[in-house]
Amino acid sequence: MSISKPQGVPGHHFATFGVSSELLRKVMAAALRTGGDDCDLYFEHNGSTSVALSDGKVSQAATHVDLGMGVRVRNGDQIGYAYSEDLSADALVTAASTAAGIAMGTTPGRAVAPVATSIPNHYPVIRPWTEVDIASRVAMVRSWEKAAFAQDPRIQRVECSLSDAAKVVMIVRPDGRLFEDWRPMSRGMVRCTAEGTGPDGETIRESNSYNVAGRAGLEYFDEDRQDRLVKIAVERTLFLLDATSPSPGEMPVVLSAGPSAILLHEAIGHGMEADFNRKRISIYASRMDERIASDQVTIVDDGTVPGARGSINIDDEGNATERTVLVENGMLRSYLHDELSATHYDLPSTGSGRRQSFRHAPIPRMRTTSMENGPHDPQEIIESVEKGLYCVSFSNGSVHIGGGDFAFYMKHGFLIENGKLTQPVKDVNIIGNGPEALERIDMVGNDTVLDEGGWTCGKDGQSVPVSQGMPTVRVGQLVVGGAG
Amino acid sequence: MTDSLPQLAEFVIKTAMEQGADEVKATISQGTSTEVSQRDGRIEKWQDSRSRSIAAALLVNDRWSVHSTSDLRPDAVGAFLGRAVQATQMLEPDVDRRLADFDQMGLADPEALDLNDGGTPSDLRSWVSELERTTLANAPDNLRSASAFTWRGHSDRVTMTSNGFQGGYASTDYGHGATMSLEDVDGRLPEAYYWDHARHHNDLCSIETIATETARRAKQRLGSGPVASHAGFMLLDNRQASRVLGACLSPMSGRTLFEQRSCYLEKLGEKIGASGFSLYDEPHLPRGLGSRAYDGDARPTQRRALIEDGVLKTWLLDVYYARRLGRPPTTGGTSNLVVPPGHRSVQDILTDHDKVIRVEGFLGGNSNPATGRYSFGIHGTLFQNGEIAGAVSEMNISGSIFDLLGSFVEAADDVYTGSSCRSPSLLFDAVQFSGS
Repeated sequence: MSISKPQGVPGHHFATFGVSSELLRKVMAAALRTGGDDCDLYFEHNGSTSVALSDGKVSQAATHVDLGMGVRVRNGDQIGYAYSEDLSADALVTAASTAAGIAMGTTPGRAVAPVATSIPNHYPVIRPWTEVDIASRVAMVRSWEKAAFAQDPRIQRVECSLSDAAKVVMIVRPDGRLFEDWRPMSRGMVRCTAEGTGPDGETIRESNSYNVAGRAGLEYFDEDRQDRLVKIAVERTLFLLDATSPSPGEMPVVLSAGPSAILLHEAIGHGMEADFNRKRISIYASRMDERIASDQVTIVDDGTVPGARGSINIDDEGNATERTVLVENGMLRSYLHDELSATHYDLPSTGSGRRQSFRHAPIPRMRTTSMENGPHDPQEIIESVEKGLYCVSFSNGSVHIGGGDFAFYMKHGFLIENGKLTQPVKDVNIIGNGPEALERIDMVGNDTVLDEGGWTCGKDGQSVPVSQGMPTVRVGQLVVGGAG
Repeated sequence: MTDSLPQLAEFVIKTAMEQGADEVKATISQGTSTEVSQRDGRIEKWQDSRSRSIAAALLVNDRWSVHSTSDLRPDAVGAFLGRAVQATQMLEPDVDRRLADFDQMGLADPEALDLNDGGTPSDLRSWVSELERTTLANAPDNLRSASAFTWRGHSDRVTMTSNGFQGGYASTDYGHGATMSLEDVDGRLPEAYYWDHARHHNDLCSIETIATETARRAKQRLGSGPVASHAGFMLLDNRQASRVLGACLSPMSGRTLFEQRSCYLEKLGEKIGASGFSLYDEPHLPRGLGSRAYDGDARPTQRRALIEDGVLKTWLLDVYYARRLGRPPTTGGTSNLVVPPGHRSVQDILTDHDKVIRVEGFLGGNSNPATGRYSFGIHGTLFQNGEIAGAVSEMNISGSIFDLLGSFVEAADDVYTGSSCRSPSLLFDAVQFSGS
């Protein structure tokens, strides 16, 4: 139930939202009626479809449509915000007038007629989901189930889901800028439950899953990706049957390439979001151009990675997205800015103003956060550890932004003993302090890779899709939870 | 569409059936809310929202699917439902996915739930301003930043089914709170917050309470760090109980059980915790934040023991999973979780033991419903014989929920009411803490 990709001239989506150039000016005039400094209108139509298989039946489907407009008025660094799911002219003007309440001026601002501007496309789609029927989706998840059962007799249960969405956004500014972005998303998930025998002959049951996501159409699920989706889901489930909880304590931790970038996301990424710094509550506030990590460490946040889940063609305030270098050879180089923080710091926006939907005002957010390659061979990094933990996959993470304490939950990994991977381990929360952990990254591998998992980042009650990537790294010391 | 909620629900059912649906459940929700935050003596953000949306569950030719939309433009709803019916026809049949039988449907008296105070007008601008001023007045000298926030909202909901159920109710909610970041001697900026949430405006705690509690919690986090790994007493703060109780509830869900990935599969009616531990689902608490008159299957809600005297009393089975598992349905999800209070104060309990870590917040972590193992990051306060002996952070607790529930010692007398999880502070023994 998605809107198809626009063809032809910008301004295509006036019809989608039932607006005209004249109405947009009228709404902006209402938003600026009390002399606010600036405003933005954010129209959104998000259509999504999912089908799911459980217990051998593809008997679950869901479709959702989310339609509405959010209007933000800025008065200095004060924000007035209102949204409406009703796109009638009266409702739009009422929402804009409400948001205008933040300003108390008497001279109304002016809005010029919007002119659509083209933007780059970082997620070209070959086979849009609008042209794929439900029966084809049913056949896909059915084939994943079959492949998972075929892979190992210990697999008892398989659940699969396939979701796709297309979000049309239209951003309008009083200086006449108007941008439209069509944002596709594809996501596949396979969950398995397996039975095995425990150390005392008892039956043990474990469950695990793997998912992949990107901004693409049906072409995203090429044969390789579908095979990998199933294979990794099965392997990760069976792995847990033999895994134990690691002993707790402080120890060196080696993070495998790819998903371990959750460390970057939690330990440093959030601390770079400039709203926290503008409010003086980030532990990284006022450390610009200081050394915060070893010279092996370079971290970027990039909105332009082709097809990545975290990519955006334009940010949600209408600013060009970019590749932002946060840390360059260990030196802190940039925060992630939206317009509000960019104005505060007198810098250009980094195109990081994002929002979950029209129901939320934009704030600085990560896009694709990754660490660049360092000098070390991954094997050399493992061999350097006498006794420690090697993390392979993660389920979730969290950070306290001011104290800098962060945590991430390792789903599976290995103990490292005398430079070798030994006992499989699982289900453990790992804690550190962001600045300390960054300083303790003492070996960076040369195998950086973007993780294909469907990561979602939550902040201030807003969820946005993100991507992340990382080479193998060694962190000298982190607190690992575990069994006593 | 400007119709009333019941009119819209009727329209959805009629339209979907005309398009080929055999059974329909329609839920119409609408709401308004205003949130205001203030920092540095000025409004930081003022947000107003108005929303209205339709959710429809459809049965078409033994196939079932769920749909929702906020696009209520005149032609959009009919077209949306038409496509939804078409999509449903392409699924595989599942005879267990259908509405509950009408004679099992019904609702408790929504008026008795008292979820709506009729809308208390309040000047949010002066409220948040007063809240910020009081918070700043209570802040210590090493304050880095503070903010105050308040919100109010009103929502209406109507549910109708094609076999004749109609239910619905309106509710109000109000809240306010503050956050505070302090400068620690080592440059860290520990943050703390405190807030309250209620159905009726006059149930909110005072501005003074928010301000003093925020400051107390922020000061308590100064100089924090891990203490040595050990197994010992944990006093779980009443506001934090939901995280741990959630780990104990997730293996109870019908879906998890049906998918054979629950550690409760062989535990129904068995002892899974200490005799003193009980946990109830109480949907009819007046003004409760989780109170409700009917559940997701349009069946009347009822009070239910989940764990009683340490025994697992129920699984959470909605009509579908009950049919699949061949058992009577209970309910698909909980409303208000209630742990009965004990008779002693938190201070009396702390004074009784030479070493207790009071857990006041979580950082990351997760639990595995298949094995019952959990691992959570925590922060809090170390008490020795009832006296504060230091601030704790960068530590994990981990173990199995069976060991945890088995080590339950007692509940304090301080039930927290600003959440749908109404728990007192809970004392457990032999909890594995890992730190330095």
